[in-house]
Amino acid sequence: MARSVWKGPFVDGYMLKKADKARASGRHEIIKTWSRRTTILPQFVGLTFGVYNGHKFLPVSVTEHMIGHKFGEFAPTRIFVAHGGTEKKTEEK
Amino acid sequence: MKLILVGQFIAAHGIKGEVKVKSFTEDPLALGDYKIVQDESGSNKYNLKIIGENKGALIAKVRGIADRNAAEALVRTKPKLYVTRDQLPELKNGRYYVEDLKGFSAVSDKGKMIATLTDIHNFGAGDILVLQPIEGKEFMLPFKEPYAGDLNIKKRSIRIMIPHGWLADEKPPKPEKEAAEKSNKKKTKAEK
Repeated sequence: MARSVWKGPFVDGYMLKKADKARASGRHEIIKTWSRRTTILPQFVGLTFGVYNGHKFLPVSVTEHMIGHKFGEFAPTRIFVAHGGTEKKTEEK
Repeated sequence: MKLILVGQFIAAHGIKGEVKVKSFTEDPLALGDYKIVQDESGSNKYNLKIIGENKGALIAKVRGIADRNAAEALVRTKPKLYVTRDQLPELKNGRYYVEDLKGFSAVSDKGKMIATLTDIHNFGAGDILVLQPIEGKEFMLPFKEPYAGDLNIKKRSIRIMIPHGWLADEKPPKPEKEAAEKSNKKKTKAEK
């Protein structure tokens, strides 16, 4: 069942504090978090979070199109078996 | 020679010797652009012609396979299909194959080698570099400025910046309810 709208999106309280602190510091920190259940809010856009997947922290750079999703969606917990040598391309940022 | 996995035979299709192929290329239909694909050993080479799509798989015609029995014999072991690195098309400036970047040295601003690039993942939040330091555990960094940049193809190196505290071990914060309960217990003990 979907979450009631009147409650608003779920966010662990400390995440907002951490995000504000990181933004205020101006340093390019990666905010470590175990809170995979937290919904991505507009105020997180532009920040990079390290989301714990049970083994390690996966960097998640928050962009606009991720708003409304949970952090856990971007840090898979199962072993990722790549097709050894798939024709993947990457772009230099 | 370095082989790149591009697809896999899944099943026979129809009675005219067609086969279902699963494509692993970025654009699935690009599998048809390679004139010759081969199995892992390189002993069997196949000439594929993509003729359609079905339920997420491609339907292909293989030269020399003319009936259902031959098609079933071909796909019995579900062979994987490879191309050599030379067969991959050239990319425009600023775009690279992940395979080509593996093994790059990750260096600091001052040029000191820190780690080796072992893989690049993308779980929906941008490209992630997987780095194996000279000593210690594997770690990851986002493939974007200021964390990574300045790819040097000739030197096979990439500049990285490890943010403060990223490699430090930390414990998760205690859940708020538990923390509140514990503080309450302490208070009651102190009162007694």
